[in-house]
Amino acid sequence: MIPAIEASRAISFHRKDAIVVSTSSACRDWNMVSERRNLDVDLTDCMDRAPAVGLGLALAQPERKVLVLDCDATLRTDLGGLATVGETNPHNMVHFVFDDANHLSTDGLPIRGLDNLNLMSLAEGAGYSKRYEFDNLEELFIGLEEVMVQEGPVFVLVKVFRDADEPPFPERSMAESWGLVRQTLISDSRGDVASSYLR
Amino acid sequence: MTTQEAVLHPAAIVEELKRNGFTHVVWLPDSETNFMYQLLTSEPSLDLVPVCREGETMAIAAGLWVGGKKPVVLIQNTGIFESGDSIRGLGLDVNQPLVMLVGYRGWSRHGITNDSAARFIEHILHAWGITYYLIETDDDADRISNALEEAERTRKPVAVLVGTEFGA
Repeated sequence: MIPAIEASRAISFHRKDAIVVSTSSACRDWNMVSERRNLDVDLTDCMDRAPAVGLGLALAQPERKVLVLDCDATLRTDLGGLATVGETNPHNMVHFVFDDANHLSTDGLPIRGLDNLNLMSLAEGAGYSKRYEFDNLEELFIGLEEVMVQEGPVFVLVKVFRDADEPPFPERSMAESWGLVRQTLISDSRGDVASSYLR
Repeated sequence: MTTQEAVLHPAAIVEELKRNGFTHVVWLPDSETNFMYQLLTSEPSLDLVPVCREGETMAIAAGLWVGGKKPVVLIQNTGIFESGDSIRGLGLDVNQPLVMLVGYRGWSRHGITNDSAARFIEHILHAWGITYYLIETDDDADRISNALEEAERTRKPVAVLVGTEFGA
């Protein structure tokens, strides 16, 4: 099992200039570690929509990686989103799902039977081209090197735990966050800034 | 004297989408919009993004918009009901200037409709403060331009209710 904040730090280390869509508890953690907030799309509302927002960004910005930081509890509320991603087949999208042992995204409330849900199988059946599962920080850190160069859509299940005191949600509003990312991407495209993944 | 039946052809809508520079059509494939499918797939300037459930359309459109594209959503009025929370959170609250083409199932200008999807849709849009335009014939298609102008000016979603079955 991996401390969630450390999993986020590992992803941040490998991020380069990827756009990151984060939701629920993953958004709280990401807010603490990200060094590129002008490329972070926060979902502090409509939290089940992270894969769909990420899909839209991946289609709009095919030259960049788009990382979606999702949670097991939010993904289960819109499993159809996996099929939409699989059907659309975005080559530049990596969908991380934090499988939270403490259930903090539901305030510690365990979801009965959630462990019966095999997210890896669902991702495979939906058409994600590659699937990874990590429950060890060192393996995650090393494995991300490979994850980030795969042709997507890639699904990454990360087994995490969290301290009882969760970090706060970002202070900025979603409108501020999204507006900043949009402005950054538009000005980057005008300057013809290519993604470092393509260099 | 003969009268020619006024109908809405898919080509009139597609032409309007092209003229306004839309880049993506995010939609739930269904029987009502099936007629547009052939035209849309053969139009190189428009990318089709099919979804499994209507609420996803708002989120995908939001991602496309943040990424610098100009999407339009194409769903039925029943899908608007399903999409409610996403329209609120990912449309209205993030200032997304989104045009939503909405099939007006049950629409009738000639009498009472028994379809609750038709009876409720305008009330729901009013409740959210979302403006809408009605198109029924080819002559109305330019209301899509009006909707886009308003969406961009107000930075809000605007609906275009398609109150007809498509003509061949």
